[in-house]
Amino acid sequence: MSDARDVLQLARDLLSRSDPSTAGLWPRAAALLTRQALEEAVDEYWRARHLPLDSLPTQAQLVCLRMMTSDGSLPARVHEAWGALSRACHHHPYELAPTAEELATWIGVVEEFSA
Amino acid sequence: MSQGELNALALSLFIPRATLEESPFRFIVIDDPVQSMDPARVDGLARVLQQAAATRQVVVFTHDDRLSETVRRLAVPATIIEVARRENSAVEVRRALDPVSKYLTDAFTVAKTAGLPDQAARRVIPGLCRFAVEAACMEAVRRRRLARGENYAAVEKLLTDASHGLTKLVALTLFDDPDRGGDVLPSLRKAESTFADTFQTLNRGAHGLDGPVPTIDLARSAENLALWMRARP
Repeated sequence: MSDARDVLQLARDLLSRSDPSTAGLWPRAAALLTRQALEEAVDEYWRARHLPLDSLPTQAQLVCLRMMTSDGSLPARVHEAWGALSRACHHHPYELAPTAEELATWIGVVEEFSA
Repeated sequence: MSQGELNALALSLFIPRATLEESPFRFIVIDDPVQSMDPARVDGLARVLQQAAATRQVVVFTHDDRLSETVRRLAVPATIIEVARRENSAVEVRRALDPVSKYLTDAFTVAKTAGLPDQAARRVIPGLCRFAVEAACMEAVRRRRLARGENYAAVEKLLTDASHGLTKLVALTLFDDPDRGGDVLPSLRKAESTFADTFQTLNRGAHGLDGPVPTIDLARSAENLALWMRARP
């Protein structure tokens, strides 16, 4: 199992397992884990293709991903998920933490990409 | 009329009616009254609700943080409860703290709990600590600028623009200028020997830190930094 998928599993566990010790903190924790998994999955994608892009800023990597792959909407959805996760990974005035449904969608996108 | 003005108009009819002496109900329940309201109006609403609460129990549901931020800033006596729902609608209810204390408590909880594996703690704690410092900066900036009589919308725009980078936000808090990022580290170093290191760890750490992370120590230093940032005049 890849590192990115291990991290995703941790995020999934936070959503699905009711655990009083993580009450209330799981949405932000899951968002932090999912964003890291996404960034690692994209790095792995480049490494597997021997393309030295993994040191670029993530934003640039995601644009490259969209340019270089013709396979459907997945790169665009990965890019979109990363944008949404990046919002959830900062404290913004007046915004609440993401919901379980939002997090499940983003985790699903990263899972699909790293499969 | 804008949606926010319509909401305010509706409330100005509903609240007096619902609190008539003739009404048999000694409580009012309001669902999401701050939707599309501008921040100045939220302050007004908090004061109106406080008046109503002198003789009634007032229960308000809301899905953003504005009313609770206002209630804390204006020191309106209120109990704030946070409701979250995991998968399969497992509902959790907890007493809400102010954002800075909440994130710090969360970081300490993750550091001390067996509920999360080490691998997750190492990845999550730096991010939670950074949330605490971000929230502390925003509180200081908002307090300072609103006290100066600045326009609410302008202050929120400034904070939103600065919220994508910790350096900008700290510069805004320390120097009242988000573009003085270069002066952040020297200034932190001068204030307290550990602040600069902590700041740099948090800046990097939201993307995960390599190697072992002294999690409890990091949470403690982040707490010192956050409380100091929040106290900036």
